[in-house]
Amino acid sequence: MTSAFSLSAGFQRVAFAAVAGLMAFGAQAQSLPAGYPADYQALIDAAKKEGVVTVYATTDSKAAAPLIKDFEALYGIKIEYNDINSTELYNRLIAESAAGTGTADVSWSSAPDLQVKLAADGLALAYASPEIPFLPKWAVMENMAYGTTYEPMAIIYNKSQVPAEDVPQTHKDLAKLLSTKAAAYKGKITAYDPERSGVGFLMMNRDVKADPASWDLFKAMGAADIKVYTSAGAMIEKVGSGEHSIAYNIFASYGLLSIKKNPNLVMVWPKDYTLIATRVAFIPAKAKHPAAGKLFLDYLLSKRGQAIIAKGELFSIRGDVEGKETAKAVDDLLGDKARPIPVSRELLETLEQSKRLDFLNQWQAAIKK
Amino acid sequence: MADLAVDNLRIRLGGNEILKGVSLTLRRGEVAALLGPSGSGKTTLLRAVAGLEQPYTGTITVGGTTVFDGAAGINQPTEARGLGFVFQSYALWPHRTVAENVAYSLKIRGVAADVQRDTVQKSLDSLGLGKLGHRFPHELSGGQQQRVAIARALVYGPTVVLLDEPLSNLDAKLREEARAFLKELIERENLAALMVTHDQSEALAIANRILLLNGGVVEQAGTPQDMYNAPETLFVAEFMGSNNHIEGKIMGMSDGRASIRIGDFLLDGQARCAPEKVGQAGSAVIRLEGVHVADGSNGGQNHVKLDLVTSMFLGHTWEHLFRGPGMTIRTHHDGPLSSGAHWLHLPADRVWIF
Amino acid sequence: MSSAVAGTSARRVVISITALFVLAPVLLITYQSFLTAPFFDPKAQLSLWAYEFVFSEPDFWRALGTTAMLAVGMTAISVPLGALLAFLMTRTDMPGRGGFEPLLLVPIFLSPIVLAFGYVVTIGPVGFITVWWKQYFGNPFWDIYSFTSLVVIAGLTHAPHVYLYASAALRSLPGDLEEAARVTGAKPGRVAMDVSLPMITPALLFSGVLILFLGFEVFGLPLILGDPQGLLVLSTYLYKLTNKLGVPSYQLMAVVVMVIIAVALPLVFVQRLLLRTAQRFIAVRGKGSRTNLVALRAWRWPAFLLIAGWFAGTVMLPMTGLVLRSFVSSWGLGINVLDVLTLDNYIELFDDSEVVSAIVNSVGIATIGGALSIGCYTMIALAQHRWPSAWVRFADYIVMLPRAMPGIVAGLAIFWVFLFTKPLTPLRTTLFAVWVAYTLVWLAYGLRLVQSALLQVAPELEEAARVTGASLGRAMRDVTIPLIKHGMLAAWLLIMLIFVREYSTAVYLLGPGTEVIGSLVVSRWGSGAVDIVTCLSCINVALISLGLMVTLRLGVKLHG
Repeated sequence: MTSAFSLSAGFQRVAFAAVAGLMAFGAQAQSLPAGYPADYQALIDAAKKEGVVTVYATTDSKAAAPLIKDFEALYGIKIEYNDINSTELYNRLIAESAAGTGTADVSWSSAPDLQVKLAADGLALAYASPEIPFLPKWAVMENMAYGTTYEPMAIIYNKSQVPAEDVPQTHKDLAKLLSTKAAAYKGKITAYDPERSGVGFLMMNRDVKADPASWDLFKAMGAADIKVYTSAGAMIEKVGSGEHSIAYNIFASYGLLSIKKNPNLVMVWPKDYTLIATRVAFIPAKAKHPAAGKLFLDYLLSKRGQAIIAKGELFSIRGDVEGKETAKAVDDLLGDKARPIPVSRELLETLEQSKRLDFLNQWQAAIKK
Repeated sequence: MADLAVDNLRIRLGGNEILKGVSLTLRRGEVAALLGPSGSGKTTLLRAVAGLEQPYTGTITVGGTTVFDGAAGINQPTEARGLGFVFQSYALWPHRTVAENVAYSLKIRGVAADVQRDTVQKSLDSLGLGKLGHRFPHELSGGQQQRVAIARALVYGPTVVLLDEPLSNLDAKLREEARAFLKELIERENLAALMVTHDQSEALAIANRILLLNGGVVEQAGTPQDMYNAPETLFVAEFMGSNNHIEGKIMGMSDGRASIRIGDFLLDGQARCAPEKVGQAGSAVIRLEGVHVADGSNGGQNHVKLDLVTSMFLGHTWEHLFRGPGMTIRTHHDGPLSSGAHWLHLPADRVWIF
Repeated sequence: MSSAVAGTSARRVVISITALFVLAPVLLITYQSFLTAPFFDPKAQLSLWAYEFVFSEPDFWRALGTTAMLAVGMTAISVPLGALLAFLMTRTDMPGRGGFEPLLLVPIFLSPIVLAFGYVVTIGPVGFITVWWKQYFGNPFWDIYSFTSLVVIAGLTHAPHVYLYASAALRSLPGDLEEAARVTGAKPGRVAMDVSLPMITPALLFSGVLILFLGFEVFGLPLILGDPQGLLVLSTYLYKLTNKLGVPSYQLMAVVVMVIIAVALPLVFVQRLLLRTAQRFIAVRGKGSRTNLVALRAWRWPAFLLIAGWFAGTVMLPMTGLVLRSFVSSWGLGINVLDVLTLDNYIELFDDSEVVSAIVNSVGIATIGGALSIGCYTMIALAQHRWPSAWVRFADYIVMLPRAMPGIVAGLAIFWVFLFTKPLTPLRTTLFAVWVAYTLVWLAYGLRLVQSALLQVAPELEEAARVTGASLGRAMRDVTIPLIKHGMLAAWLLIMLIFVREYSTAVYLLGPGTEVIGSLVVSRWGSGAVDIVTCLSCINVALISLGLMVTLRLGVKLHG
């Protein structure tokens, strides 16, 4: 964005804020976030004309409620929020895009591999959000798909079942624990089933990428007769009840919820490396209300929206948001051990059939006792 | 002109030929009985006239209108044929009152409500059901239910009425009264009635004409007297009345008379068999009432001495069972008989030889 | 030649429309099974690849074998049990049988996922009862995750279906047959075995085939109880296929559906055969007969205990688990129940605005939608009524097909039909589409309910109307339908119960504002909010039980 005035950056910011403030005063209570192009108002108007934003998302509608309320208050545009799982989202999107009836305006899913595939297959609208400068490079795919959160994948354990000296602080700890005390932890370790859960597969794949010695961990899990599930809820429920003791690769947001409910549960972010998952959003090419979609996407990525995400314990991705559940706080804790899953074509590898089946065969072989 | 005419009707059901070409005509004031053993096709014929079974060839004409013609492709649906039908089980609608049951056909024909009410009441009155209009079928006795079924069939004034075993569901005493009642009703209302029954005494009592069906064809048709007194085949002879049946060998035949040998006994009788049957096995049939106890005689032509086996008191008469070599004979007699052998006379003109 | 059977053209129209609705999703899935990509993908090509892939997967054959064993096992349990329950309830003087009737139906409207979870809470490895048992008796003799437990629970929870058919058949038996047996000296048990049950054999065989069929597409129970041991059945194998290759591969899912259909069609053939013989036993002619009950004498209380025991094991056990879970914040080893009792879960639930709208929608679809569905089923049943025609045979086979598709596929297929059929598209996001989906999927079940009511009507009653001048339509309206009124009401009640717990079929047709309790349960379960799910289910059960009691009090009898 060029400026006709050669003023200092700081003064530019203040000037813009002032102008924005005046515009907000003049317009209907809109405040353009800092750094937005002057013609953004046109987008807002177009979005208002469309009148509604249809969102397909895997984030729980209750968790998303504050975001929805705030957006609606901010722009006066209604959100039609569809809370569905990642498979349903994928199915709906490709079918509706092919049928030509128009589809959602924003697709927001915690399955980054599927979202990347959809974008790579041309179902995403290319749109350069003005918030791009505030996002890490790995979280933006070709101005099409955007990572919106920064969620560590945690290990959850039940402290009444796992004595203090057994508590794994790293992946290597866990591998050692399960292989040396296989009998004590027989049937007590749980994880997503990579065969039946897309998220599970992706995470294990990224584990191997982060540390090739992950195969030893998987072998150790096999030695301890690991029980695999498709739902984090089921896993955490059973760890909480003591039927199992350790759950592996759980989204930190779930983790936070569960340790609040059950005082026996403890969450650990592995110190050798921690995978960071992100919920990916994009605007479908065949969106019915593209302008409104763009508006909501920008909102999700904006400081205001991210602050609400952080407050909702969904872990915001922006570096300039303060709070406990933010990228900043996570990075402070993990240092350089954070391993974010990039929103890029790299993820397509996991969806390639022969490679995927190979991995699964390897997995089956590893967990065989 | 016949009010009901059936011509050469053939019906196939599930691959079997049930009716193999039956014809009949019926006029007002006449009752025709379709008689026969089960499986003879009589109910099928009745239902076909009503349109509830589908023939594949033949014609049915009601009141001059052709309702079915296999060749011309005419097949009027049941509801258009304007007949009355009384079902064996009465088929009264359990969820409607007696009056509603009877009124239904008028309702369909769009008769005004007050006219409906009057007509129905008149119909119920004429059948002795005047006070029962508001009752439900299950609250009535069998006889009453039957009369409701009749009222329902007749209320809209059809000329032809079809009855499927109308008396079989009544107990014996009621049956006799109902028999008379039905005959009187048909004659009074000048109906053309086609009735199915398996009970030959019922057919004899009520019908003007009987058609005896056997295996899908009419074996013999005629007045009750003809059917009873002049049977043309063994089947007809045995179906009507109560009979004695004696097997033997046909010895000779001439002039309408024949003789049959049973053991040592030679019996003369009316010839009903073909001349070729001389020398072959045959049957002699004589009605129970044809045999006389003839103790006074001392033998003679068509006299035989048999042992008394058992006796049954029937109220108005005694029935005695006699047995001898090659024959078992039952007969009626005013009083009891002493045990032992008795002379029986089988008059030649009462004996039919088939 | 005017039609041999009255109203043939109208009948043909009804059956044709039904065929259209039924075959559209089914043929789509069939077509999909022969493609290499989604059918709407321009790159898709015809190929047998999907079949080769599935048939070469050892998991598939394992799942097929397990499913077959499960289906047979659960039939072997539910049929005798259902028959026994029916005999005790309808033919004997067992105490309390009046009150038990609605309770027997409870498993029909409990969502299997929720039910299974209830079992985990009570008799799972760390369940309340297991823990208590361990204290006094040592290790429990049961393992809830074993195949045996799965078969037993499936059998127990499907007994009510058999009960419905068996009790209807028993009610129409003349009582003198059993009296004759008692007179010769047979005790009630022998009477049941030697007279009553043989007389209703066709009904039992018929419902046995139905249970076999349901066994092939059972999903919720194996999902919860089979997961930990890796027990796979066809429906959970299907679920696996959606993620195994990363992106959902519709062609593989379609192949599994084709396999289930290939199993279903012969079952329909067998069922039709049995229905023909059943007609002789079920039909009642115009007059009813008063029946005397078999006096159980010494067996009274054992019988009562049997039924109470079944109810306890099949309903009370999981329900206790659910209710308890809804009132605690956490449970299991090392947690004292009294410490964690709380109302928070319920408070959280009612905070959730979607819940209220879901409840309203569910009730609406169940009552109004259910009534409309029964109306459709009645029309189809009447179209088939007393019509010996190839059309009827055809209809009998196709009505089973929607149910042959497991819920997840059925929902997807119906979604596609609505999406890609231009005239239907605007209706896709309305409750109408949801209603169509439900009506289609439960077509076979609802149709049978209405058909068995129709079987009770003696043909003469309709013929009498025709003879007095009523057209076929008139006769059906004035005679047939009033006479099956009770049967239709009972069918409506049962369909209501089923619609309320339905979840997977309409998943793709729902949106904000049109969600129903079932889908809410599934989505909350998926997001890990297990406590919300249990509260929701408890409320669901309470509502339905209330509705059931009210309708039964109002005189809707469960048998015509």
